[in-house]
Amino acid sequence: MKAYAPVYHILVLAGLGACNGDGGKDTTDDTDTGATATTAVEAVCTEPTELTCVDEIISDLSLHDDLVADSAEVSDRVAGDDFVTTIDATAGGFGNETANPWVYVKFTPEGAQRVDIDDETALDSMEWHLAARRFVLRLNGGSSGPSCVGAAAFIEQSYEDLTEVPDDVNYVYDDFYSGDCTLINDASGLDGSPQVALGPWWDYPGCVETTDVPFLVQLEDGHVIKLRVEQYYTEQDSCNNDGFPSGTSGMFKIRWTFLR
Amino acid sequence: MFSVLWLTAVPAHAVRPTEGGLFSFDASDTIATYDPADPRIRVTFSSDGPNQVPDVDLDEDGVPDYVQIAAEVALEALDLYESYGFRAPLSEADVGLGPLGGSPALDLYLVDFDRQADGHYDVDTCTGDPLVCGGYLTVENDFAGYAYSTREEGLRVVVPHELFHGVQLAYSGELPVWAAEGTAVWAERLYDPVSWDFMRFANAYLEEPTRSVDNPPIGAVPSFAYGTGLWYDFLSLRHDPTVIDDLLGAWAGSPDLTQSMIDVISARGDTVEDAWTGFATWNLATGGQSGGLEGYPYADLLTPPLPEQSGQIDDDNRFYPLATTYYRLNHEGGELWFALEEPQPDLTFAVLPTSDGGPDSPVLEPLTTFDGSDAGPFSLGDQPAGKYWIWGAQPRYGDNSIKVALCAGTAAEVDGCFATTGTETGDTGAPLDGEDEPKGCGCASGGPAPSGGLLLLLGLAVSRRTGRAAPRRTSAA
Repeated sequence: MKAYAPVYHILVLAGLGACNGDGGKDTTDDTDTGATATTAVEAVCTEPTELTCVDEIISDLSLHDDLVADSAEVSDRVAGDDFVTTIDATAGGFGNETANPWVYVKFTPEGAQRVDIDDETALDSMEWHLAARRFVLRLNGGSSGPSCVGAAAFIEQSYEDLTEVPDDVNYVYDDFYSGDCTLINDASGLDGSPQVALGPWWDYPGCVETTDVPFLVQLEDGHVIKLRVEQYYTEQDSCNNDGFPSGTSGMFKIRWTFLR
Repeated sequence: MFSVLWLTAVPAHAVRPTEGGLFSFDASDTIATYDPADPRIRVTFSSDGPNQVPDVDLDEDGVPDYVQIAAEVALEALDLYESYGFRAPLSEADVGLGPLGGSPALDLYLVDFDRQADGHYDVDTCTGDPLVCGGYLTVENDFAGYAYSTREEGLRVVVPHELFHGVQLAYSGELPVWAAEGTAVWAERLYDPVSWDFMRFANAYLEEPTRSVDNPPIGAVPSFAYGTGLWYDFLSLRHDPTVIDDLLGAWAGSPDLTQSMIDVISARGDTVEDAWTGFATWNLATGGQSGGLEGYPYADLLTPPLPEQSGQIDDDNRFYPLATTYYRLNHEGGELWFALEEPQPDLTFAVLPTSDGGPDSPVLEPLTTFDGSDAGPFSLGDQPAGKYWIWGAQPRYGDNSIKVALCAGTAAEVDGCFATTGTETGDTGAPLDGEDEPKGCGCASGGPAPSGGLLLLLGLAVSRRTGRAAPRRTSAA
């Protein structure tokens, strides 16, 4: 695995909005979710928040109101304590993504489930956690959606070493619009790469390289998963080791499990 | 053709391909230069090595024909641009950097892009306020493996395109992609009136006409941004090619390029509303749908936009500024009705018949063009059965989209639209308080028997129409 640039990731995170939730109105218990820990969790939010840059996100991200990615593969396999979820975010292949919808995914104790809604409906929906299209992974919160799903990147740790949720984790939301709804790109230098909380999963030394950075993702109900993106190209090693893309792009493999 | 335009700030000057960089000569290349009689251009190329140009030299003058053609095309394009009053690209000498390419001429480098691109224009440095920049162009060394049918064709597409970036940089070093690439693609057709590259990108625009012309999708190389060349060509045909020179001049230092563009249109005695209305109609009259009305001289080479909806029109749509949504209506004959869920005066609609009522046959002049200040429902007159096109647009500057439901079809079909509104206005057939029972029916004989709800709608329409100074009946009604 090639090293990633910590400075870049720090910059990415520095610009993201921190989560503060709405005070946690509901309390649920992990035993209902299949999570491994038994700590009671508080919901981060229970009601959707109206997005402020709807016009812009529809246009900038080429969202559709009449297309649903209901044939895109979202499948799990169990690997020890983890799920490894395949998400087909190819969106018609390079250059065709604007004509295709995002794939929406919900993390559940039974695995990842595809949520079959169109993009514009998703802007009002708390039913999804993750949206994928090509190399962009959005979380349902901040600029991306009305919920409060946030993430924290742990650039100094491995996925395996991240065994519990630390105290005082600062989850951040997708934050790719300024106050006047101007798109904020991340620090990758690539045009059209919005500043999203999961941005540090990749680097771009000429192809989309996986960094193996683990994340904690806090769901709206307060449960937390740890997550690592392991594949973007079906032949990811070619990019990671040799610097050349090979295989089908947009075919994610994401390893994840509930930590709380 | 996909090119890359770097407008980022540079230190003293950009690294020339002879010095290194992403697309550059190799140390094993044998580098030569060609200076045509016209001193405005110098071509730097490899005669042997990884970046070698084709060595065909039919005139046996010692200079590869490919190199000479590149120079000829560049000089032709410079002459052409000059003839329309455009500023000439600035060389490194023009911005005080001395002969970085070995002469004061504008440098054209021929290197292998390995199918990752086919040309780009690099900036040496920028100066002044508004910022103008000097630089050089780099073009593919042999077009091997590219889609161009011949190498010469590749040169005839890429060189004028990249040179026009040089023209732009003589006005402004800060153009967004929709302005820079759109007008560079426009310049391709100025050079070659049937440029297939222009047509290809124009079709990319026509694939997504619902997007604002000044807001391409995010991404490194959005074809849409290149495809906006169609809009500039429309303006050029509507006025003359010097309108693009006006645009470049207005954009220089402008804090709001869209407003500057609208101002340029206004200065020509035109309005953006009228221009966009024409653009929306011309775009529909393309491909097999061309020939029924005035349109692009190359209209048959384009692919028409796809309808947002076909059949009966009952859609909730978001209309962005300077964008158009198309609908294809299957009308069974009789009175044709149109309605909006609520008035939207900033929207404009047009209804166009087709020449023989077929689904893909030529479209004809609009039956009517109207704004959305009256939500209706109102009649568009008694129309024969067949296929009709309806387009809707927000043909003006705007910060936001306008979201509204619209409906078109027969009386019965329109009656079924806006279910919620229908209930509120008496969908059961009972008249609203204060409304008279419809006394008569304006529907065409032979049309479907209107439902109770529609009778009310008709009644509203008729009563409103009665009080209208200039009824919006169609000219064909």
